[in-house]
Amino acid sequence: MDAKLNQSDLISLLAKGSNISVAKAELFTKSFFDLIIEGLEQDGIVKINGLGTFKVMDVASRGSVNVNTGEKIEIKGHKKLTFIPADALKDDVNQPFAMFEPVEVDETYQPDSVNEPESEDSAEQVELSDAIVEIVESPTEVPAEMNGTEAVESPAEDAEQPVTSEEPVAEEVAAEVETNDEEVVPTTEENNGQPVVETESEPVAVQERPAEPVIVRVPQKKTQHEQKASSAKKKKSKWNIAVSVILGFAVGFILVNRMSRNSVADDATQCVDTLQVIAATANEPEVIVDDIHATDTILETPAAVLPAETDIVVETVDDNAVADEPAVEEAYTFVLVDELAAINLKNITVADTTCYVADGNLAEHTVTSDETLTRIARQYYGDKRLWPYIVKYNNMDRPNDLCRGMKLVIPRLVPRK
Amino acid sequence: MNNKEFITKLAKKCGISVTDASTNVDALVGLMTGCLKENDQLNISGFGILEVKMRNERLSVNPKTGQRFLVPPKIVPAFKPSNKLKDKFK
Repeated sequence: MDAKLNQSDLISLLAKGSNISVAKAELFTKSFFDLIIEGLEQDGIVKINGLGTFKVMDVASRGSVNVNTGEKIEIKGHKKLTFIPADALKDDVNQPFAMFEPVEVDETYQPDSVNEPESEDSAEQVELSDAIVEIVESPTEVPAEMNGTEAVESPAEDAEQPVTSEEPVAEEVAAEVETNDEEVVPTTEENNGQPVVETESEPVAVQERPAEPVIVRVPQKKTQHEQKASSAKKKKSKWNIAVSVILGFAVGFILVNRMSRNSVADDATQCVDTLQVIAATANEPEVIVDDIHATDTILETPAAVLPAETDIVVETVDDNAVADEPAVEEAYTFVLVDELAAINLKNITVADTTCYVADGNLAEHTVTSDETLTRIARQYYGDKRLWPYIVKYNNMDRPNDLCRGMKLVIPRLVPRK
Repeated sequence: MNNKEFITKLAKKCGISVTDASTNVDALVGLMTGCLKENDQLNISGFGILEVKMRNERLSVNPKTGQRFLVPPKIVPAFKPSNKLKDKFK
């Protein structure tokens, strides 16, 4: 099918089919086509039974227009070689369409394919095999071309429909997620108020939430996470492992960074970055789980939400393996946030201390007991973070070893311009 | 040149009997028909290309009676002479 054969293929086929030697077949085939040309030169017509007629036809001269310049030109009359296939060959080739006969139609009938120019040979050639297959499979259907056009149109329609219908669905999902967030947060607090339902991890999360305003989102997510445990335990446990691994990784990364950091500012930004990454990774599983959960809660009436939540929480208590992991995660998160706060503080210290220059002596200070450099700094400057200036100004080798009776010169600090 | 003349000349050219030439011509034509039936393209260098083409269905009107006919699609054999051959007869 659709193969391209050349003369040598034909020769080998002939040799095989007629049981003659390849040399003889080659001689025969070559002289066959040579003789056709010869006969055409001689008589202008060669008739071969079963194949058809090769004929040299006259083409009359005709006027035409040069498409580039618009000039009128005349195409001179010439001769053209034509081939008129024999009826036997025509019928054999047209076998797939043999059952069709011209049908008389009324005037309203307008097939689409009529508009197409008939001379698009290359396009037709491509369609040929497909069309044949179609026809062979469904011989009762007359308009093969119409099948094709319908088939082309229907996927386009299908493609349009999902696009239009997708948007409201997405909005609904978003709305559900939002409503879910609003519903879940108060119910967890109510649950904590009730002494009947007590989980080890949840009170910790809720207690620490107001203390650290920065991390409000993180524990909230975690409590949600716990509640989802019953609806998607398998998914959740997988995600828990993944998230805890990521958290552990991040903590280790930050610790290593802290040990070997050169500038605190860099570290702080990195820390913030990693936290954001963690938040992002933690959010991802929830979005999926939220959808499942949201549909459940939306279906229930608001009154029924609370019992449902309590049920879920109880289940998480029973399921130790699932309930333990979020607690560990929270611990990690809090450590991270504490670290962030500490780094931020130090970050400010370093940044501020570079803003001043020492300009002369402000005072002389004798260290008494229970005094530290930070206290001295606060006493003189009103800011404990400026203690490194005292250390530098006094050329202290070991600033931690501050002993009673030590005399320190306190520099006057002038803002750097 | 009709079929009989063609076979006679071919027999003379190949140095075989007319009956052999006749059977061989039939075999070769049968082969070519078989190839075209399979939608194969026969590319014979120096001669041309024998292939099949598909004609779309079309509406035809009988100008005398005004009857409209839907002519079904069909597959037709086609011959495309090589440039060498074209130039020879131009």
